[in-house]
Amino acid sequence: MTRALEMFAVIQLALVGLSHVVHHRRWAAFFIGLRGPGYGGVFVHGFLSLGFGAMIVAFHRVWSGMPLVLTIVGVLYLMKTAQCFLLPGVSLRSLERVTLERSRVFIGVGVLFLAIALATTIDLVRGIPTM
Amino acid sequence: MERAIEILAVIQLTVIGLSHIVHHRAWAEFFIWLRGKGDTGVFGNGLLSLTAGSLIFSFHQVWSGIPLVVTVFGLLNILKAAICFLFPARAMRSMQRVSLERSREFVAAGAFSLAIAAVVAYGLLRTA
Repeated sequence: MTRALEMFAVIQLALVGLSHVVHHRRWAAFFIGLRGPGYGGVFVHGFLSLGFGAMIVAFHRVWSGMPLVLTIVGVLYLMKTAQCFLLPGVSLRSLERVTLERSRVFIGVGVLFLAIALATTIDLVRGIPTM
Repeated sequence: MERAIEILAVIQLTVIGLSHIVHHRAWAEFFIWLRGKGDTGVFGNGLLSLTAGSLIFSFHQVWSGIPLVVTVFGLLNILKAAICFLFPARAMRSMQRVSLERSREFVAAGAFSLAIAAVVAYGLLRTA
């Protein structure tokens, strides 16, 4: 179950991370579009984070070694979700900071996602039983 | 766990497939609305496929018999998400083909979804 969840996270983090690096301006446009509907966009953002965070925390509660990184990512996503649903004004202000001119900040986020995906992949490969 | 994912796939494919058939114009409107949002719509579409695809593929790696259909369905959803995230202009062109006049194409997509759901449900019942 834990390995399956790690694979789930690797697929998501690798694809979204690579996309953040290659298409940072489009991701800025995505978040600018998301803040358009106001709190509606904040709640959509919250639901996206809730799905990912809840999956990790429900199926991956490993509190040691390399897998701990992924558990922390899950907890951080749930904290982000809580902010979207409980303090939507704060989340909206955060969305309002996104601009096309500063879209390169998404490259940093993408690299971080890719690094977590790589670390989790290394752990997955290490865990494959040998013949 | 594999059976649970197969049940999840049957539920999703049946509800969405049936809706595509009964409300094909509404689905055309949905995708027209989504493309009107530009990059937000393309990435939104990608996130829907990524969630379903990554969930199915990571928890269901069965490479034989009827369950193989579910694994391939998961992989195809990941592929669609990859196109949305890595080739968004290509994904946008695909969304631009949707029109209210050609909304009946969604009926075919719905029938295909229902056919996959029926095959997977048959496999589930056979091994119950």
